[in-house]
Amino acid sequence: MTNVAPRPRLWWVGTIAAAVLGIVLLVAVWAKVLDPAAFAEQIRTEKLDFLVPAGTLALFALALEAAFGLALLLGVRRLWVLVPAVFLVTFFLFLTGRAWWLSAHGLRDAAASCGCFGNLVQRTPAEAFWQDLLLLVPPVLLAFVGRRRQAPVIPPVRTAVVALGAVAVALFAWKSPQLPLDDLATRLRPGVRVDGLCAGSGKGAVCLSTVAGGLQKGDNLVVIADISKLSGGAADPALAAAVDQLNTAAGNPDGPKIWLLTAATPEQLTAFNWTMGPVFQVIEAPPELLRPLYRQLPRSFRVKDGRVTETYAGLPPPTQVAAARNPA
Amino acid sequence: MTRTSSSLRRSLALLLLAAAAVVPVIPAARPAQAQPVPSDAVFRGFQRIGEYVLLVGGKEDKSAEIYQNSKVPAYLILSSALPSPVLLTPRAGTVETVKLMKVAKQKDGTVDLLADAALAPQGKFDIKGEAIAFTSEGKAVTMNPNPPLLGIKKNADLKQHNPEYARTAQSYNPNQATIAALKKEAQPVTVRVFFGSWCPHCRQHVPLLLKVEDLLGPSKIHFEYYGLPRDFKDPEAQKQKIRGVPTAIVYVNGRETGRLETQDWAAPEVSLGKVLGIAPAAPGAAK
Repeated sequence: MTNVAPRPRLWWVGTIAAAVLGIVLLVAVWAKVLDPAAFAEQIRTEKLDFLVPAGTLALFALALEAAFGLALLLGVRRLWVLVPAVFLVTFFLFLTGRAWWLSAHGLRDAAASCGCFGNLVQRTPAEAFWQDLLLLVPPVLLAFVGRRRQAPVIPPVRTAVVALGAVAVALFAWKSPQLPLDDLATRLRPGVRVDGLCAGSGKGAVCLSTVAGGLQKGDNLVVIADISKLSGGAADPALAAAVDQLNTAAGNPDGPKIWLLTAATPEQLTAFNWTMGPVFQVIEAPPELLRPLYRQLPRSFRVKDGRVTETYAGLPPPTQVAAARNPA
Repeated sequence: MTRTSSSLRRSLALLLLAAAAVVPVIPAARPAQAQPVPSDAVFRGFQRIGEYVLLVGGKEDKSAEIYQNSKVPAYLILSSALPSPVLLTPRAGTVETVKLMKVAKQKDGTVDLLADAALAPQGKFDIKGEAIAFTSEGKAVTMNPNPPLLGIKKNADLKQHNPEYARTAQSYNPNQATIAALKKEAQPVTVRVFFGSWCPHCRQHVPLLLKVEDLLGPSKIHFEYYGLPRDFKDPEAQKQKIRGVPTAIVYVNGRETGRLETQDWAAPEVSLGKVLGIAPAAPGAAK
């Protein structure tokens, strides 16, 4: 007969709160692990990569966040979990609070764009701060309630699961850019309509159909690309070759209409147009609209009558461009 | 005989002198009208653009016409300040001149090079920020971005500033039922469109409303176009809380009743009709 200590009063409150916080952290990990490059970009934006490169830091942070999330979900409410969790939550609040302050004082640079549209963020820095505060602070505080003080400091099985989970997350994040997960990780996937791919909210929302109205009709082959590499006048050979192919395809009146979407400054666009000589539609789109559509650039997709039918990692496959040149 | 031939020679000399005096008056940049030679298979269909202004020797040539080819990467410049038309080829980065007589203006406003046009190399162009600089036949030439239209402007101002606006307007077919309903609007309506002549999305959408205005003709609906600078630093824009362009504010009897923003520009006449309480036409009614 084993001697099991009775559960403290309100044990269930702390356990549920810890589980809620654990789920929130794991959902956040899932969103980031599919596109660690975007997470690394955020790290660079927040200037947190002063000691370790942003990519490495992103993997480490994801493993750490996953470890705490798993531990809390599995009910490991020891101080070695809860105290760092408090620090983690405080750090997140510091970041969103700082973003709010910088934005309110006009100290955060807007991303490169044509400048036609206003602020297209899905949630304002103030909203982000208050949402994080409400979502993270109550559970992290309640997770301290009703802890079993005489339980083992390091529960072996659950700790092993946490360690394995953290390592698995780091490995997955490391390899995920090479895995064919673009359709899962981004909003651009077969079946979606271009008028449903939007940035911003309400009447001021900008959709893909707003910036490239022609996608609503007919057969279209679209490339999302970064043209900023050309701003110094040097041509990226791969992109140069692609522009040649796309120019040829654009010359075929029976093929799909060719588009290039890019978030670029007017200078970058001038450099691209005069260095590469595209004869297809080059459309400037707000970065807030484009960023959720890719993990790595370039990315391409086919749109028929406003609906995405296929997506391609990288430039369109030669067969697609050839089909554009020589339609059956 | 001698006297006769001498007076004939004098008359001929006078005629030649008069002709010589008249020739420089003929605008240097008037392309060939009669076209005995066919157009070039590649360098044809150049369309006039309004993205750039031309500076020759640092001085703006307001009469200059800049054309772009949509089939091959090429720009053609016709300027009376330059001895010959200039062909710029992006990617190759080349500057070439062509004889004026080998440039043919077509009835639709496009410009072709003739099949027997010979191109004379002049060197390469430089990209300087948003400007393009080169030298042609000893003259320093710069294509600078066209300065933005600022403040209140009219339909014709926009079309003159950028010929692309006129072309896009011309090719747009608005919903005829809505146009007919808008014509019957009884209350005085003002549509003030905040736009940026520098903004590519305005270039795509504002011409659609220009066409609507053209089709409405004399009506109770008055249109005005308010050009903004790139930084949006304009007291009127700030007062009206303009966050993006194009944005149209609709005033009925002087009171704001609605706005046309991003999504509303796909068919601005329909959006305007909705703001004014005119039932939109059934889908498919648009022609």
